Amino acid sequence: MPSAEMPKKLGSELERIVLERIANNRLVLPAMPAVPQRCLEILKEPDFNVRKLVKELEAEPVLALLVVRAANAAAFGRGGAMQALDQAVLRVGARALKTLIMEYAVNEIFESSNRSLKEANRKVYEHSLVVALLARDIAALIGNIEPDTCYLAGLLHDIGKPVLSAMILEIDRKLGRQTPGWIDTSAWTHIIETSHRKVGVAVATEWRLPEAITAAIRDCSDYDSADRTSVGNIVRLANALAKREGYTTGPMDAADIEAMIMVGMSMLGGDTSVVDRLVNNIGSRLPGG
Amino acid sequence: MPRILTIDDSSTIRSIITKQMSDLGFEVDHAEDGQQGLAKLEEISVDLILLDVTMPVMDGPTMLAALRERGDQTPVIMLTSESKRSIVAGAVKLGIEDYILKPFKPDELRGKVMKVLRLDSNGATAAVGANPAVASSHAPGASGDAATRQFVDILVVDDMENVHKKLRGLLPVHVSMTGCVSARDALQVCQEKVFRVVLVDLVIPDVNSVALMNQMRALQPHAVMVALGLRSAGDVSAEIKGQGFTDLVFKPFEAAAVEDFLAKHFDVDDVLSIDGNVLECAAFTGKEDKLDRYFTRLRALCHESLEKLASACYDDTIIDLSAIPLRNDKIVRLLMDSDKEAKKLGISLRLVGTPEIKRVVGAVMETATLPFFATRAEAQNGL
Repeated sequence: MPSAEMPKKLGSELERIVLERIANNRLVLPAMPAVPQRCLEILKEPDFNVRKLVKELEAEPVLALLVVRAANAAAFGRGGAMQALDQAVLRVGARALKTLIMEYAVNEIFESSNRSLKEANRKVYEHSLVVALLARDIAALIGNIEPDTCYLAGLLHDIGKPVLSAMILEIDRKLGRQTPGWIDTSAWTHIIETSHRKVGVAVATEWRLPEAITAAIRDCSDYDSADRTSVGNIVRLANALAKREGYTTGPMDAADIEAMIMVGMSMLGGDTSVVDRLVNNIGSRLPGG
Repeated sequence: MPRILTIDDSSTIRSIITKQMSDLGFEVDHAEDGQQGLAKLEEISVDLILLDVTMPVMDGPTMLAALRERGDQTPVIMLTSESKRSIVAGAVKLGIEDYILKPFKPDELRGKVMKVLRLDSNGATAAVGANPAVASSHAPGASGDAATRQFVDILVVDDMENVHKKLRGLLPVHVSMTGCVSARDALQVCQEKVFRVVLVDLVIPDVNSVALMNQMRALQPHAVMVALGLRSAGDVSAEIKGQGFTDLVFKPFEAAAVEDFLAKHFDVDDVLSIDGNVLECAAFTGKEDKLDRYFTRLRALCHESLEKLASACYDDTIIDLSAIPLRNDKIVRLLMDSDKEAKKLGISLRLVGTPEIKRVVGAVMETATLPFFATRAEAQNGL
């Protein structure tokens, strides 16, 4: 049996290794899946080649199905249901396609074969999805800021967490400690909470995400009063609102959350009663809600 | 009359707050730092404190801690340029009611002050509790969000019921009116409904009409306050304007004078017109500070119009947003409210508007599912 001090020591050792890897730029980061990456490259062109994009999508049937489903969703749907991928691509449009493809790529990061990690990642994903939905709504309410960018920033703001979790698991295995329970929850949480942003920024840089999204991942702790309606500020408010609604992945301080909401609402303006209503309905907008 | 203490080392901020709060009929006291604020609160009792964070001698958080330490639970709104979460979280722990970031818009200050003053420990409205003559008139919990309250064009406060009847007879059918014969009823109704214009008789037995007007203004910050006077009193326009009224209407009413009054205070063309099953939102042509009123009116009219369409057995309707001003949050709120009401009535909604409006509607999931069309013809055909 390990002594009570063991998990703490192991936690410190893991933290040291993680920080060293970050400092020395030796992080093993997940690559953007090939098909989504090629699709996003094609979509960078203002007048993108539909045939080329369709060819790429056909290589990834699940992604192709998502595009067709999006085209038939109420937001885009007019007239009858469509099956043809090229028509679906045209109906959805470049901007929404980019979001959809990025979402698909991000989903893969939250997958894990480890049962404990899978559950932890599911919670982070659910929280991120709530933040993304709220960030998009807040952006739309404020105006003059791209809602889809805010959606992606919300979805990715905690992307460092699953990546770091997988990394800790891998380091732990290399150290030969595969017995469950070697790392206690508090040590695990501490490493994740203190280092996930650096890892998230590294992923965003690797994936060449827009700077506004990278900035939102970089620091969620305080609002930027110099740029009141920045993507980062919108994600910060959405993050606090999500936590207040119980979509959280770790311990939280109620006063701290309330402070973030008060500051965010004042900084961003908008209609408090509408935001409250959106928050109240958020559960019904999640998959299976 | 509610009393507010503003504690801020900036004389400019103190002046701005004093002006805005005085316009709402509140009494305002000042202090330049936390120490002065604490001393002031030993002399006077206030309904609300507007507190800055960074000040010389004693800062806001220290002053707030000292205040709570001595058992003073006066509501506090932090009004500051400090947005650091640790500082604001510390203030939340000490029981602040709300927070306003400088620079702020007058609407935000007014809205938050009103919200806090309506939520005292008894659930009664602090904004009108200072006058013993009317203090008992407020039912607990009667206040509510303006969005959920009924919109009425005119409130007439006159102890003679005949005045209500005469005015009603001269108003067009589409102009709604509520009449009250006492201050008590008037204050009650001001908590329940939203009025565009409030007419107050200058001579109501046992009531100070100016004080009553100020109290109603606290509850109806967007309403225009108009005095009702006797013609025999002569032209007292200048005097009543000095007291805070916007206008004066003479009794007995003359048709021409009522028409002038309507032209002055009501839009000739209303914000929503109905053509068959099409609701068309009119363009906004007023000043920016009247935009909130435009949308409040629009929401109320959409609500009423949907009921009319349901009564006329329409099961679908088109809202034409082409001319609506591009205020994202207001448009979304209008559509969320209308969609909710339409669903309740069994009516399906279709929208018409410009690509910019389509983008706004499509960006929020709650409204994105509403069918959107470029033209009315397309919407009628369901293309």
